[in-house]
Order: sequence, then C-alpha cells, then structure tokens
Amino acid sequence: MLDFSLVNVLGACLIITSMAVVLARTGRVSAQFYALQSAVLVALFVALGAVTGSTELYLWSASAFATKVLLVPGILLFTLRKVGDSADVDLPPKLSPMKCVGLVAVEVFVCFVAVSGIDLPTAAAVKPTLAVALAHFFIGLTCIVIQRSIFKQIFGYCLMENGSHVALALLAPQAPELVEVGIATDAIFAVIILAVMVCRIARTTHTLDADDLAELKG
Amino acid sequence: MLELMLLSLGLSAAGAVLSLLLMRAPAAAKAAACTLGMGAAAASLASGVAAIGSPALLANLGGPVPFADLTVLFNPLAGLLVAVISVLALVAWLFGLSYFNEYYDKGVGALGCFMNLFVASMMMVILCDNAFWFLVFFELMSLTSYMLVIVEGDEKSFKGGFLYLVMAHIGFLMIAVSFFLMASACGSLEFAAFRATAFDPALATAAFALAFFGFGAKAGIVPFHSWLPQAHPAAPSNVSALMSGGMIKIGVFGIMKVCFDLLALSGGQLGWGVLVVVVGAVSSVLGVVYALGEHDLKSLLAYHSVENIGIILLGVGTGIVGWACGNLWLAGIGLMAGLYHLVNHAMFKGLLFLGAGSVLHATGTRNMETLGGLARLMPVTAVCFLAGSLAISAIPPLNGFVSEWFTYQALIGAAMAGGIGMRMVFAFAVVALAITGALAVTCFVKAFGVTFLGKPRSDAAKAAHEVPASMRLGMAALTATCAALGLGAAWFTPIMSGIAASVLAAPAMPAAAGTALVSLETVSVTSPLLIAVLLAVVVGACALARNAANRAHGLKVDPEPWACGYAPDVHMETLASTVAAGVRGFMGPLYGIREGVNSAGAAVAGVFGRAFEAGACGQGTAPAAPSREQRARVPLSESVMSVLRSVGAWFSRLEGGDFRTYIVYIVGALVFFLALIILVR
Amino acid sequence: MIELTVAVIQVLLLVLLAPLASGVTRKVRAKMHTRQGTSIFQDYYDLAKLWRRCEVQPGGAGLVSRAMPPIFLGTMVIIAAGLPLIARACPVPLLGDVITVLYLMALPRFMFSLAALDSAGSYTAVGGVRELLLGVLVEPALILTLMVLALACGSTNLGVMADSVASLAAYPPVAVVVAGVAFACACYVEMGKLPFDVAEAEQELQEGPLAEFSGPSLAMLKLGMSVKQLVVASLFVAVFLPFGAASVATPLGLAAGLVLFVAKLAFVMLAAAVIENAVMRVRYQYLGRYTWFVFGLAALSFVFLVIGI
Repeated sequence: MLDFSLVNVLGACLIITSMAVVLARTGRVSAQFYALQSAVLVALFVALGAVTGSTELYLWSASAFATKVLLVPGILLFTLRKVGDSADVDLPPKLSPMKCVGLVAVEVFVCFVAVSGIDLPTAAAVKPTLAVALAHFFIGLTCIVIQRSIFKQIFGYCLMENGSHVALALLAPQAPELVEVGIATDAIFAVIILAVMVCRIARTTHTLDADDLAELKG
Repeated sequence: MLELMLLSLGLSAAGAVLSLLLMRAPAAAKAAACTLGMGAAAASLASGVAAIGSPALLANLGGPVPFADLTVLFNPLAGLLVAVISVLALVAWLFGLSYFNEYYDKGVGALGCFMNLFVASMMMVILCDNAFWFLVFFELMSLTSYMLVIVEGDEKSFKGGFLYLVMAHIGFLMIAVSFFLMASACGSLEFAAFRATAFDPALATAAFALAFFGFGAKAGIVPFHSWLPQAHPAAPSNVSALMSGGMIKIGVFGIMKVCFDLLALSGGQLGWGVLVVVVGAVSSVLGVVYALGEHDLKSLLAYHSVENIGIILLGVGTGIVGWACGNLWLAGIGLMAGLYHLVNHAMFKGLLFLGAGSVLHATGTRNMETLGGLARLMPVTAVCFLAGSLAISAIPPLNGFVSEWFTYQALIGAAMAGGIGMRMVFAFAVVALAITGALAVTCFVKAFGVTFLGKPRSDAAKAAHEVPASMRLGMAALTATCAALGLGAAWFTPIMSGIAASVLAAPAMPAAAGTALVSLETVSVTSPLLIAVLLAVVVGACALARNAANRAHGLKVDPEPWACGYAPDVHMETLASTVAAGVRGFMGPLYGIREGVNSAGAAVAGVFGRAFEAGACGQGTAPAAPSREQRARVPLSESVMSVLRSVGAWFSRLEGGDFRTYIVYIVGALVFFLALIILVR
Repeated sequence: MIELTVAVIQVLLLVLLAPLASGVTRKVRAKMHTRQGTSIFQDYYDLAKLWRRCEVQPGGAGLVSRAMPPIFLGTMVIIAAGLPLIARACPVPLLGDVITVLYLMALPRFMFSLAALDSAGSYTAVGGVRELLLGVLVEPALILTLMVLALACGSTNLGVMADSVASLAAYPPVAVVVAGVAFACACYVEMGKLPFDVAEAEQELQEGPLAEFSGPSLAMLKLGMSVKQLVVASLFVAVFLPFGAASVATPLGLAAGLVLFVAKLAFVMLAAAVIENAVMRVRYQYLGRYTWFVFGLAALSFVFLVIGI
C-alpha cells in the first residue's frame, strides 16, 4: 500500500513540476524543469515496476531516461542557443500565474471525477495518478493556449506526451517494449521538427509571438 | 404562555388604535404608542422565553373565515424568534421615546400605529400554523413595513419603498405557489396536514425551491437583495433596527419551517442543503463587498444584513445537509450555528442601527464623509457602536465570534464527512466565510473610524451632542446583550442546541462543557470567557505598565498630527472613499455583478410600475411618481437588448481567428460530448 | 500544572526573543548590503530608550489610540500561550483552535487600523488601511491551507494537527506538503516582510501607522509587532514543522523540544530575512497578484486532498 502511495506522491510531483514548466519565466528554466519532470516520470516508472513486478517498466524507465531527461531537453536548449538574439523567446504568458494555478487545480479535479468511473488493471489505489496523467493532457493544452511564445508552446506538446506515457504505463503495464520505443521516437521526432520550425521562423520573421505570427496566415 | 402572547397582541392593537386616535396630539400619540408597545414587547418576550423551554403547543383560535381556522403553533423555534423580535421591539420603542420627537410633523400617530401593527403581524406570522392565515399576516407585515419605509415622505424613500413592495410581492407570490403546491397535494390548508403528508420528492423539491427563494427575497439573499439597502435606510432608525434585525429573520424562519417542519416526512434532500450553502456563501461575500462601497452609514449596515443572512444560511444549509445525510451531529451543530448567528445578528445589527440613528439624530446626516470626531462628543454612542462593530466583525470574545466559530466547525465537519463534491462545496463556503470575515473587519474599521474618529469634517459634526437618556439606554441594553451572548456562550449554547434538536426532532448535540464550547467531530474547543478574562488581565497589565512609565517620564499632547512637514488640513483626512477605493482595486469584478443585479431589479420594478398604472388596480398604495421614473430610466426591453448585444460581442470575439481559440473550442466540444455520453449511459 | 508552566515559558520565550530576532534580521540585511550594521541587541537598547522617553499624544487621538498598544501586545501574548510549540499538545487547548487563533489575530489588526484613523493624520491612516487590505488578501489562503490540514488530521485543534503531522499520520501527504508551502507563503505575507511591509515604508511614509506614537506606547507597539512576527513564524513551525516537539510532557522531552523549537524558529526567521532582502519592492496595487498566487497554491493543495494524493 505504501508503494502505491509512493506512485501517487510521484504523480503529484509530476503536476507540480509541470506547473513549474508552464509558469517558468524563461525558456531555459522551462527546459530544465522539463528535464526534472521527466526524471520524476522515470522514478514513477521504476516505482510502478517495483510495485507491480512488471520488468517491462524498468526498460521503459531506461529508455524514458535517455530520451526525455537527456535528449529532449538537450534539443530544446540547443534550439534556444540557435535562436539566440534573433527573436525574443521569453514572452510573458497571457494568463496570470494565479489563474494558471487555479486552472490546473480545476483540471486535476475534473479529471479525477472523470476517472473515478474507470477500472484500472493495475490497482484502484493509483487512480489519482491516472487522473494526473489525464490532467497532463489538459495542462499541456493550457500551456499551448496561454503561452505567446511558440517556443514555450512546444512544452505544451511535451507535457501532453508525458501524460499519455504515464497513462499507458498505468493502463497497460505489460505492453511490449516496441510500443514504448514507438512512443519515444515519435516524441523525439516531433520535438525535432518543432524545434527546426521554431529556428526557421525566428530567423525569417524575428518574432516568436504567436499573436504576430497569426498575421502570416491566409 | 399563549395568554401572555394574546395580551401582547392586545396591547399592540390598543397602541395602534390609540396612537391613531391621538394623531392631532403628537406627543401623546408617541407616548401612547411607545409605552403600549413596550408593554406588548415585554409580554411577548416573557411568552417567547417560556416557549423556548417548553414542549410545542398547538391551539385553534377559531376565526372569522369558514375555510381556514386560525391555528397557532408555539414551539421552541417560534419562541426563539418571538423572543428575539420582542427584545428588538422593546429596545426600539425605548429608543423611540426620544427619537420619534423628530417625527412630530411627519405623522407620528400613523407611525406609531403602523409600527405596532408591524410588530404584531411579525408575531402572528411566526405563530400561525395555517397557510391562509400565514400568507395574510405575511402580507400585513409587508404592507405595514412599507408604510414605515415611506414615512419620511421624500423621493428616496418612495423609490426604496416601491422596490421593496415589488420584491416583497414577488417573494409572496413564490411562497403562495409553494404552499398551494403542498396544499393541493394534501387537500388542506392546515400546516398540520402538510407535515403529516409525505410528498412526492419532485413536488417537495419544487415547493422547497419556491419557498426558499420566496422567503429569501424577504431575507435579502443575493440576487434578491437590491431592495434591502434602499428600503431599510429610508425608515426611521429604530424601525430599521427592527426590520434588519427582526423582519428579515422571518425569511430565515420560513426557510427552516418549510424544510424541517412542513416537508419533514418528505425527507430532506442533499441538493437543498447545497443550494442554501452556496446561496449563503455568495450572499455573504457580495453583501460585505458592496457594504464597503457605501458611504451612507445606514446603507452600509443594510448591506451587512445581506452578508449576515448569508452567514446564517451557511449554518442552516449545513444543517440541512447533515439532516439529509443522517449525520445528527452535523445537522445539530449546523442548525445551532445558524440559530445562534440569527440571534447575534439581531442584537448587534439592532445596536448598530440604533447607533446610526443616534448619529443621525445628533448631526442630521448619515453621510460618513461629512462626519468624523464624534467619539469625543458622543462617548456613550461611540463605545456602544464600537462594541457592535467588534461583535459583527466576529472578534473574540464577543457574540459574533461564537456563532461564526460554530459555523466554521460545522462547515469543516461537513467537508470531513462528505465525498468529493461536498468537499468542494464546503471549501468554497469556508473560503467565502474567511473573505467575509476579513472584509467585515475592514468595513467596520471604516464605518467606526471615519464616523467617530479623527476630526470633525463639517459644522454639523462639530455641533453634535450626546443623545437623550432613553436612546442611550436602548443602545446600552443591546451592548450588554451582545457581551452576554459572547461571554456566556457556554450557557446559551445548550439552549440553542435544544432548540435545534426540537426542530430536527433529534436528541440535542452536546456543544458546551463547563465554560468551553465544544465541537465533537472536529475535536476542538474554545472559550470566549477564558479569552475575555485573559485579555482583561494581560491587556490590563500592559496598560498599567505603560501608564506607570508615562507617569514617570511625562505625557504631553501635541494638537496637530504629523503631515510630512505640511500644515495638517481637514481635507487630508482619510475618508470612507479611501478605504473603498483600495478594496475596489482588488475586488473590481465583484462590483460589476452589482450593476447587473441592480439594473435587473430596477427593470422588474419598472415593469410592475407600468402594470400598476395601466391597470389602475386597487393597489392605491403604489405611488405613481417613482414608477414613472423607473420606467423612464431602465425599460426592460433596453436591458434585455444590452445583454444580447454583449453576448453578440463576446461571440464575435471568439471568431477572431486565433488558432488557440479553436483549440479551446474543440476541446470544449469534446469534453461536452464525452460528459453527455457518460450522463446518458 | 506542567501545561501552565509550558504556556508561561512559551510566552516569555517569544516576548524576550522578539527584539533579538528583529535585531538579527537587521544585521542580516546590513551584511547583505555589505554594511557593518548595528549590534544584534540594538532593538533592546531602542526599546529601553523609548520606555524612558516622554510620550507625546496627537491632539485628535482618544481612547482607541491609547488602548491599542496594550491590546496589540496582550493579544499576541495570549496567542503565544496557546500554540503547541515545545510540546505537540496545546498547553492551553481552549486557546489552541485554528479559528480562534486567526480571529484573535483580527483584534490587533482592527485596533491597529482604527488607531491609525484616530490620530486624524492622513499618512498614518493610509498605512492603517493598507494593513487591513493585506489582511483581506491573505486571509482566504490562510484559512484554506489550514482547512486542508484540518481535513487531513481530522481536527481544527492545533495540538492534534501538530501531533498528526509529527507522527506522519496526516493523510494524504502531498496535499499536506503543498499546503505547508502555501502556508509558509501566507505566513511570510502575514509577518509583514518586504514587499508586504506596508507598516514600515522607507521614505516619507516612515513607519506609516506608527507615526503618531511615541515613548512607552511606541516601545510597546514595536515590541508587539516583533512578537507578532515571531508568533506567525511559530504558528508555521508548530503546525507544519512539529518534528522534535515533546510528545509526552516529561521535563527532558520538553527541554529538548524547547531547544529544537528555538533552532527551527531561528531557521525560519533567517530564511525570511534572506528572502526579504533578495526581493524587490513592489507597488502596493500589485500585491494582490502575489497573494492570489498563494491562494492558487492553497487551492491546488485542496484538490490534492480531495483526490487523495
């Protein structure tokens, strides 16, 4: 029981770190917090593996460590250096921190209500963590919607991706490694593509403000 | 005790007739009305106190109407209400002995007549146990209080009075429909038949909701509060005390009566309690926020009535929730907290309105901005008003603290016992109560500080004088009651607990032990008496030490305050608007709601005004002038159009072309349809 | 009897240490400004000197101004007597209820602001009103975090809460930790440290609401305000860091609890002092953003409580 509550505690830490990712002032700090969150994710996989006795989860945690703690933040920080002075990355978000935190709280609550009807294959005790996983989808969305800087919007995608990763681990802990590899490479490629686009947009338009970029459409 | 009550009613009727007969001799009319009124109040007080401790008494007084006998039910809850209103009436009449001198040229005879009838009709509403007579006396209460509101005879009082009349009748209509629903289901107008019938749950809910909003309109809950700050201040101050302290409690009494008594067999439903708690929470916050924006002392107090009704409803709603869940402790403690706050609010609000009346009497103005420095000139009034302010701000060890403490314990206990949804609702209620508490402190620092402290800001304030003895006595009596209800809480709590138990027909919950107040489920205790003793000792010791130091090293008086090197000027002083501006800065959006509610209320009143004019119906009391003005100002169609326009503008903003908006759209639709699937399944 | 002794020791400790804490804070600030700074005992000297001065009362002031300093100090003393500081149980359980403590704190605030209006000086009054509004801003977050703890521990009594947290029985843990963070932020605001220090603005609003006080009254008020800082910090220590407090009232356990409590309090005060000097002054109108953020944290902890993590 203590072990399941450990999983839940790590799930709560995921929420707190993802809030830090959304609220961080600079893209650099966001990336660092993202790495921290991924580390929590890895710990969660390890804990879940220890509790359920599923060896696949250890493999998952290893590959998640390689891709999410090292590779993705690395790519993002590299992009940040590439963009350099050509555009302002650290635009303030559209929503005040208080409203952000409140929104996150509401999202977590709604997700908890939503998952309270679902039966988990692992254990009913980790239901809060499933709520957290689901909430990450909405937190990622929040990040995309409220951030003006398109660089920071990438983190929204990454958070959603982390959430689906946790949900997968909870709903299908016995899934083969192939699935995990699929998810990881998918994430890597998406981030690489987004990063390249950010670099090019910054170089051509000298702005990363989504409001300004909306003028490009049509 | 019924005999005493009948004696009281007889005295009231005699007072009303006598004061009307003596109309030409104002002094005699005043004396007759006040003395007979005091006698009536004393008799009803005795009967109410007797009823609190005795079993319920059901009596049939016959009556002139063939289809409905005048039955009365005198149970402990009715006894409590009777006692509270009697105390207020007693003090109000005492206050009136001097205060009504100002009304010699405004028809003091009629004033005395209507006030006597008003008090008597309130008593009858409380006691009546028949739907027909209940509504008759309810209407009589509304009409007599309307006459008291317009006694000043100026445009402002007509306007406030008219709005009040309309709101009272909307409430009346809802209550009548609610009673009709129940009566048609059980085939009798007797409340005894209502309470012996188990209604269909849907019908019970409809009846409760109608009765809740109908009585709520009388009690002044948001969104039916807009009449209160206009009508109460317009009446003479002691009548305001009676209305704000007494009459609006009848609304709360009605809610309790319908829920716990008439619908007893139908079983309480959780949703009712949640409705009451949420409305209570919203009313308490908005009431105090709007009070902060007022510079008229009596309007400020009237808005605080909205706030305190909200706090009472928080307790009552928690009681309903506990009752519905079968949690006896929660039901008992919640209802007890609500009842205790009902009594407390009657006492300190009565006190504060009398204080405001004294200020008005002494200076002729209610505008705080032009007052100031009255504490020096009217020390007794100032001390009483300060005590009332501390009590209403729920500062220990006075009585407001006791009932708010129990309310907090009930809310937290309810959150402890409830599931996810309950926890959210009660967390909302607790936060609302916390904001209310902090804002009430701010508001009364403003009310007391700006009115009584500093330097006088007008000639009227400079020329103020202490009020006559009867007025001082009235205030002092209520101050003593507030202190007693606070310090002696450990002795009053079991009584309240007993009344709550009789309402719930359950064993009384222990809520006091020795000098301590106890909350069982939240494992906590407190003791206002101990706090008072400790405060007296410690603060006294500190003060003595400081005074000794002063004696040893000297004490001088510097006539002018320090003003950064400039000569101090009366225009530099902090005004009520300074305080209000700060709050407005932090709570701006909440004030926006008021504009909407007020214009809606005015629009409704305008429609009624037009109906009155067009139909030229028998309601001769409705003055034509204000209704015409209302119509000119805010026609209903206009306000509907403005709402439509703003909705349209909002939609056009949504279509702005930002891709993020579309994301929110899609997700919103997704969530909506998922929820729909879950619900349908 | 032993409870009464504990209560008296707590009061004496907080009242006697308050000027020292304030002196140390000033020293820390001086060091961070690379100044020499005054002695850490400077506040004792100040108070002693003020106590021997002739008092000058403003002309407009009346009983409220006169009564305020004793009420301020006295209320803080009573609150200090009720907190579970060196033992896990409240020395005086009747004073140890959360709601009682919070509403007792409203009394000095009420009188403080009234006294500011009493002297008829505009500068004092502005300070007093700001003090009130800060209270309004921070109160919801304080109550909500304490409600989270009350629900996690099953009681609104501070002693029961402390016991439950100290024995790690408070469930769910993450909610309690997040509530602790939010409560720490709220306490920081309540302590009146920069940028929430409206009472002691630096330039022309020197000492804001205190401007009209002098001599022994000022000494008492200054002492009261330092005691308030300590009381608020100890409230945090008592509820969220009760580790090490005596679980049974043996003399040895109490002595250990006392030493540990002083260490924890010193740590909290030092942390607050460092933060105070690391942040910038903010325009008064913007303070609401910070306090609402704290409220958001409290709301998050409540959601964690509801979903049980």
